[in-house]
Amino acid sequence: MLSVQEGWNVRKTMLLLAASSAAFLLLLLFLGFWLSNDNLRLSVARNLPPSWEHPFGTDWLGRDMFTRTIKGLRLSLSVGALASVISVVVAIVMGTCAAVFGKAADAVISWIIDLFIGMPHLVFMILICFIAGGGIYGIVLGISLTHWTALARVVRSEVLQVKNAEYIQISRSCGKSAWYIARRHIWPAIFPQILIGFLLMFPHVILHEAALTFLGFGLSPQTPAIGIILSEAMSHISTGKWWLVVFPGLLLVVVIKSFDSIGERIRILLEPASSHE
Amino acid sequence: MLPKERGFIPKRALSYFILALSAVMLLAGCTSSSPTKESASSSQSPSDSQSPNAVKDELILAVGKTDVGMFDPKKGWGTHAQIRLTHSSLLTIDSELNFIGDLAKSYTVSDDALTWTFPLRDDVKFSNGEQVTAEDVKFTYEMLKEDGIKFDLSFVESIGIAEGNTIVITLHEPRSTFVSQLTEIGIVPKAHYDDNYSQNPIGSGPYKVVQYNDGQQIIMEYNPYWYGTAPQFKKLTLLLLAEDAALAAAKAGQADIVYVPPTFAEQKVEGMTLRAFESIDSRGIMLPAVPSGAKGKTNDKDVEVGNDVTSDLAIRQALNIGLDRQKLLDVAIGGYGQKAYCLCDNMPWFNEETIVDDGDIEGAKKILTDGGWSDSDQDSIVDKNGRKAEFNMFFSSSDQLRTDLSLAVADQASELGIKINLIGATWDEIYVKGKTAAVAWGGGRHHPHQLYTMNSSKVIDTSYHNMSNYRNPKVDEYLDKALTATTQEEANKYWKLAQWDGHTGFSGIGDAPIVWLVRVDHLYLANEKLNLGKQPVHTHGHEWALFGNITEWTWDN
Repeated sequence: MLSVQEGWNVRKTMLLLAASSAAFLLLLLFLGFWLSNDNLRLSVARNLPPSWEHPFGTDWLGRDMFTRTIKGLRLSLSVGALASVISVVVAIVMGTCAAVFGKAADAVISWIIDLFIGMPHLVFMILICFIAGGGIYGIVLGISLTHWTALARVVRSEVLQVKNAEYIQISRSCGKSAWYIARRHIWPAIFPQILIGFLLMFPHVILHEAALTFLGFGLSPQTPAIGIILSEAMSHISTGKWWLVVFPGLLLVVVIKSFDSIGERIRILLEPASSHE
Repeated sequence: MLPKERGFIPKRALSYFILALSAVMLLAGCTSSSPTKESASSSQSPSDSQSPNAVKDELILAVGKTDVGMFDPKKGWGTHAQIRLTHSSLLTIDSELNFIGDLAKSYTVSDDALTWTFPLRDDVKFSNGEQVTAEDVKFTYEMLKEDGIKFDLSFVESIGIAEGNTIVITLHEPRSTFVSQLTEIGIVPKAHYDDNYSQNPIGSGPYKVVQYNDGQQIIMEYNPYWYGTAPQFKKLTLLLLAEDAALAAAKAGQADIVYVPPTFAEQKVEGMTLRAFESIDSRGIMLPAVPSGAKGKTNDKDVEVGNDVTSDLAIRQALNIGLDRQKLLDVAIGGYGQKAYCLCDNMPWFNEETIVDDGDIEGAKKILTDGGWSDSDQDSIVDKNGRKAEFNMFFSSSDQLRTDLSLAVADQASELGIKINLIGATWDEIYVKGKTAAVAWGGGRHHPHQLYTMNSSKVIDTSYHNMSNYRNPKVDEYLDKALTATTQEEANKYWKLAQWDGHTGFSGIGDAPIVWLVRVDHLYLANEKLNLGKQPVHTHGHEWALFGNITEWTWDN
């Protein structure tokens, strides 16, 4: 065991894997900004199968599928980040309030969480998105208002656990305010949980973003979004244009898997005890 | 943690097991279903192979998904050339677009164009064997006149029955488009017509409807009482399939003829050939001609009206000459179409002066500059008084062709400095919001009446006529004169003047409330043995435009 720790060890492998996943995602993000919007223009180079010039081929209007896919994923990543951040904030606030402000607040918040979990996920999102009038705004709202519940529950139970720890009791006896305790004692203690929750929420959110854009919801077909690309490709599968659906779909899966892998690795690194499971 | 983990592994194994099991069952399902399909097709093929000279008398068609006004003229059956299969009308048109008698043996029009006389055929019977009488014709026209929604017959004074099975229609005022309506109105039986006519349609066309499953299929059989040439095909099954499902049906050999959008035109299906028919089916962009803030009605619903960008004439005219129609054809519809400059290109009432050298980006930019639009903040979108040249454009999202054309239009417009944001929607939404934004519009008939309904200010707020709220007194005057002309020649003269009289007009070089761009060919994949006869130039609506000459269709072995 000792010899392993001096050289290459599992921890470093984990870090390397997480770093390479992160590098891959950053590369996609960079490409998303770097690739020219001119590649999204229509041209007569229609229905070309994959080649060096067009790695993912072109669609039936001559748009470069590689650019569309990468730009679509950039949208997915931005929507994912935004919706995840909102979800995490909501989860922290809800979870902390439930744990800190006594039985009544806990009951109300637990009831709200149950209510949100009880609704069928996709239906609920579609509903919110529809009420908000569709578009990017509706999609972000729909996703962020439905994804915070599981994390809020985790935060709540963690806070409940930490709250009764001795050092917090002492801090309280010393006359520190509830805000001070939450800020200095509770949040640092639950930070790993939140970080992991945030990272693992990403794939979930991105998939739901793809699902919503797949269904339309006011996003213009000019916007390259991964769901739009896939739903458009649907009507062209019957004509044998496999590259319209295979590459965007595959890349979406790889992106999801990368996030999942980063989240899992970090979880294991932050909770070394669980690595033996 | 540990016990939990132990529980997890079997669960995981179980899920793999279930996955494997379902995969096996799926495969088993496939293999067990395919023999039945084969046996179904093999049960058909022997009859073909045993008697190669046997006449094929059944056709399966998937030429479009349409469910407008099923079989009832009061609900709009006939407004999109539907009636030729199921009904007969007083007149009809031949493949050269001449008006010829159908139910009427011939027709005469008085010199003042107010009295129309139609001696009827005596040998016409409905599909239930009852005679089609002058009473039925009178009933149909009076019923539609009273209704007044789908067919405007308000100019008809009276419908009388004269000696010798003759119908005499008198008009308040001459109406040059009346002759076309005579070909669109299917005659219904007075004795059997009621509100449930859609469920139990009885007509005097070559076919009778034996089954209609809402949104799925229509089955028609030969009407044994049909008075015209007997068609070769005694049974037609119309599958109401979406475009890609229709293609799949063709590939599976389940249909004899299917409609294909241009994106599918290059598909090769064994035993089938692509048939392209030129059409007057035009596509363009409807652009609101009034500024925002107004109120109006579409299909009797209160709607908002107006758009601050498209109401600027320079924007509309710039689009007319700036968009490259040939490039739109090449990119969006694979070249299967013709350029269009009006709703009526190449028709006798088309004003050829409205043809412009399009794709002229410099010219378009000059129009914009002269109109006060310039790119003052260097974002490649022109602006005027702080308002950017940016507007929404709706298109029917279930229509591949309009989707692609809209994308191509928005793409080209960006070169002119005009930003178009596309929104896919259903027609119901488009009718509600369409008067505040551009709409991918379509039309085109064998008659000029749509020139009136799309451009006259008198029809604003009725049905979905004149969506742009376009108002030009001079154009109104020409349109009225054209409509009430006593001869076709006189009418055509005024139709042309309404498009462009040298100073103004509703065409693209004039006020351009609708910028017409392309005429789309109607494309069908049909069995190579199916002969569709001589088709006239198709009208709007690829679903029914085919059937004008159904009795000429043959199966060439």
